[in-house]
Amino acid sequence: MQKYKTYLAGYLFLLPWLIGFLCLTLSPIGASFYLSFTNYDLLTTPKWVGLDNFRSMFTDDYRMIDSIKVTLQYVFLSVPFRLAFALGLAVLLNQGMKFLGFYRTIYYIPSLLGGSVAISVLWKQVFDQNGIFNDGLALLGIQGHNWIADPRFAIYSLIGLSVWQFGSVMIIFLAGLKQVPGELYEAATVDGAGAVRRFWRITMPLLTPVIFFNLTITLIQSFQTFTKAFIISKGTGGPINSTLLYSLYLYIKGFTFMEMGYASAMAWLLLVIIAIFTGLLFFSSRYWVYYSDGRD
Amino acid sequence: MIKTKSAAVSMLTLAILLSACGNNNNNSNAGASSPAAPASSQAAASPSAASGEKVELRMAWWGSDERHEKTQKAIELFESKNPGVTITPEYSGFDGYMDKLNTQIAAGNAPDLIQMGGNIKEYVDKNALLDLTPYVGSTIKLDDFNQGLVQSATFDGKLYGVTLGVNSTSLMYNKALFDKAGVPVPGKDWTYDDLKNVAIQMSEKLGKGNYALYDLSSDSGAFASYLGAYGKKLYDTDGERHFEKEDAVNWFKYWADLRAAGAVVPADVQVANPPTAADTTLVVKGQVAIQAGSASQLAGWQQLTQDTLGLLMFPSGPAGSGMVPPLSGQYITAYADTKHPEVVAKFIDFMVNDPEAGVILGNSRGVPPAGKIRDALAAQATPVDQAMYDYISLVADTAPPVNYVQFPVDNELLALMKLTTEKIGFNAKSVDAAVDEFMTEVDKLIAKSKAQ
Amino acid sequence: MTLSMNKQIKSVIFHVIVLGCGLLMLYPVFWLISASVKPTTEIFTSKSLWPSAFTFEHYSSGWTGMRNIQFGDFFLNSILLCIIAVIGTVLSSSMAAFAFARIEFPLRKLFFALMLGTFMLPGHVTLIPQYIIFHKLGWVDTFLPLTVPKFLGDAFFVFLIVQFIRGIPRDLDESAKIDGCGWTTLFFRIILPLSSPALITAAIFTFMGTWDDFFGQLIYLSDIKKFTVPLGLRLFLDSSGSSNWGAVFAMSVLSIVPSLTIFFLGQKYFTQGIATTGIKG
Repeated sequence: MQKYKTYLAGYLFLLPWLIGFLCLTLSPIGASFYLSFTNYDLLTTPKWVGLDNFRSMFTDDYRMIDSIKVTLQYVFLSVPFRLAFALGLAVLLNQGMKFLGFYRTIYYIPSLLGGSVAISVLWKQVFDQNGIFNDGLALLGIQGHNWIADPRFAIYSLIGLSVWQFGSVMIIFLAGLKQVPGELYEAATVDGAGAVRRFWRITMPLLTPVIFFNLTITLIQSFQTFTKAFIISKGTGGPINSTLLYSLYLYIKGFTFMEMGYASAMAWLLLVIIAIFTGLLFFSSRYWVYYSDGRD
Repeated sequence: MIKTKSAAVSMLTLAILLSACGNNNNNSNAGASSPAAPASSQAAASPSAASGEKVELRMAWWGSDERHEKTQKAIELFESKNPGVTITPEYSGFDGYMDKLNTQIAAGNAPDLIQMGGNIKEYVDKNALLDLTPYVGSTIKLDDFNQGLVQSATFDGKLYGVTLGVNSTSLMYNKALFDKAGVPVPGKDWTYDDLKNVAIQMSEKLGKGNYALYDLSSDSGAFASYLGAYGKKLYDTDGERHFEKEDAVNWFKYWADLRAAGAVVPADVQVANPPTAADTTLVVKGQVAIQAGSASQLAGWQQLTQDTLGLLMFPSGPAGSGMVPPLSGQYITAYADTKHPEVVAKFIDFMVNDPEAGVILGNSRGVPPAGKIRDALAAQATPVDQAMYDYISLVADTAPPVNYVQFPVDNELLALMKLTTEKIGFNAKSVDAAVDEFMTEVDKLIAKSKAQ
Repeated sequence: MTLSMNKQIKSVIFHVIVLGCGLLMLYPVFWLISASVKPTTEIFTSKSLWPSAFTFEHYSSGWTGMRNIQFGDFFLNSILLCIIAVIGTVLSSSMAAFAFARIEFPLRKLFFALMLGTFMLPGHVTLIPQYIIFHKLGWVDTFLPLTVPKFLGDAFFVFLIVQFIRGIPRDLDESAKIDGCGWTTLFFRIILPLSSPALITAAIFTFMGTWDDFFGQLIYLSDIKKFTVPLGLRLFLDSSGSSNWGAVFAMSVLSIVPSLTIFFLGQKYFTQGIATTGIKG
């Protein structure tokens, strides 16, 4: 009897999410799955084409390769830098120093700008041929480039933008650091452990659930990055597809070129790719993530 | 045809409502009845404003501050003249406009009145727009219009849109740079060789950081005009392309040569300062002399600079001028499933023929198509307006009498041309290899348009 | 003596580096503020951050320059949306997270996997089907499509709060149960207070995410009276014609203020930390 009461409690707490999942999420996802096997131009009835969309993604789409390459480059460079930056600063800004609230706010402000329309102009002021970044390089005697408009470098300016807006990841780390019980530190200090040792022996293990969360979420979000590339490239993904992140290409296909069936197929391919990476992370987590609740 | 559309909506709806919670009161007639449009449910009888019944319409357009202001004033005027009619404006900048419209059409919830651009045909093909033919003559009066403009929105003998403003492709130039270089502004009879000479000469005299020309090789209007000047066509009524690889090679090579000579803006500068918007173009900033643009932009851009801006036609070639006759810049169209087609038609006529509305709207969407409105506006035209009127008349006189057909999937052609230009401009591909890819992809686009 | 000197020097160096890097990162923001008070002709031409003359015309033209509406209305709409979204998200996501993290029930792992799965599918392809549902419900052009889903849990925040709840030792639950607490008491009395850093994080992120959500608001809101700040900002821009960048910059500066305030107030809770000791005993 007690068992069923527990089940009931579980479902009751899950109820809001369950309603949303069944009513608002599940059927659109089902619809997009169906559409991925059709030719759907948004305005007329979808036509069933079987696996055609998936086939032409691999054989007949001259932008696809570029898009996948750029996306992988973006994900594997921006994720580690963003996480390292955020963790480093979170640890630094979690010390008992003066003005910490002020510093945290300063480092968070870039993230407040988010996907603002002003970003495209601001980023140009920094990374344009005449931008301040090149002025800085000139002081060091280095000849700069047009970082945003040159296909060799445009993706790096996008990665830079993503690292610049590391604030949200930092906040989650800070929240995680706050959850580490103070008495553990006290006990360790009494035992004579130094700051470095305390960090590696106490902070890091207790922080692993949050590191795991940030890693997973940042990975998923990076694969899906859209707004940044859209704003910086003015919706084109150019020059020469150098900022054509997968989600941007998917959007262009679906809404600009009105091939929503194809875009849906692309979305499902992305889902599979992301699920593989996330699955690997979850599999690995049992070896390095430490939960205080002792459950797996 | 409305049937097909409703079927599309019902199909999707069905897929979605498979879920248990889909609460739907009236899914029997999904396309035609929308709870969001708060009109009376007996709308099938299509009540007119005269009967005193309340009519609520929605109208969508994109544009800038100025156009929002003027269009709302015109709507208010219409409402005061037609008691019982309210028109809710839905306006925005161009970003996201088409996305939202497509979503609304897919759900059967589009505004009654829709401002459309050059891609009107795609929406006609997909039965999203109302056939206005039954109202022509009785409600919508077009006698005063240039027939070419009426033809441009007529498909299979049916009219689907009414031009709001006449526009034309052009070369926009900054006169101050010509003066500075000591080169005279070319006249209307010039050739592509003249353009090349002027560009090289000017760039030498203007010095570093200034250029004679934007790279126009990615501009589909410029390319169409070039093909016309050499006796070819981009596209025609038969749904085929009418140019060969050789023509495209010549075109892209022409610009590659100018680029090598330092006469056009380098690829990275062009990407960073695209000529498409007033706040990014270097013509307004006085660093580049010539770009491609549409004539109606002249007045707005002139406000941003002390230099005098002007309009030039594209050069001629062995086959004469390849200029495309003045086109409709924007259309006002009606949604196929509107419940009040007659009031909608009345408003369409009001926008283009009412003298008061004409003065309020002014040139905010290009030169008004109706002669009497144009005359009224000409009387109070500023010198910049006058320059635009003169230019459009000149194009109308010069353009060869061909039936111009817009390339069907224009957005994709634009993206493709941009990619080709960039591949050549950034030395990622040779002209020949880039054009090979270009031709393959153009043929795919044509195949796609045929399949639709 | 030397030890404390050393410490002081270290502290000064620390502050100089942290502040210096912070200010460097803020360059674009300073540029934005400076552009918002520069005369129009100077915005894109002068590199100096200090305007030759201060003008507030962009603020006034941005605030009052539109027909039949003021920018302040957009702010009110945005703030209303954000407040509802924060309440809904924090409540529903923490409930779901509690269920996933603490209660054993059939299909728990499956639902958790499905939840993460929904997070992996790009939103653009479910947009139109979802729009059709809201249209059928008659909710288009109201705030409902933008608020009701927030009361139905969000995968990101559920996952976040799960990770935090799992950092709370289980013996707390057991001792609570021995004291005769039910699940509800356990949730409200013990789990929620102990995961408050995560809840505050969720609240701040929801506020900012909602404040920033251009696409959703664009699709669902049509009537100008219901417009929000991101939609209002886009009214000054017309990529096909001319844009009023001065007003965009001025209103962008103002649009950061609410989020900045929320953040500044919220971040205090990180510094205070959580007193776990009291509950443990």
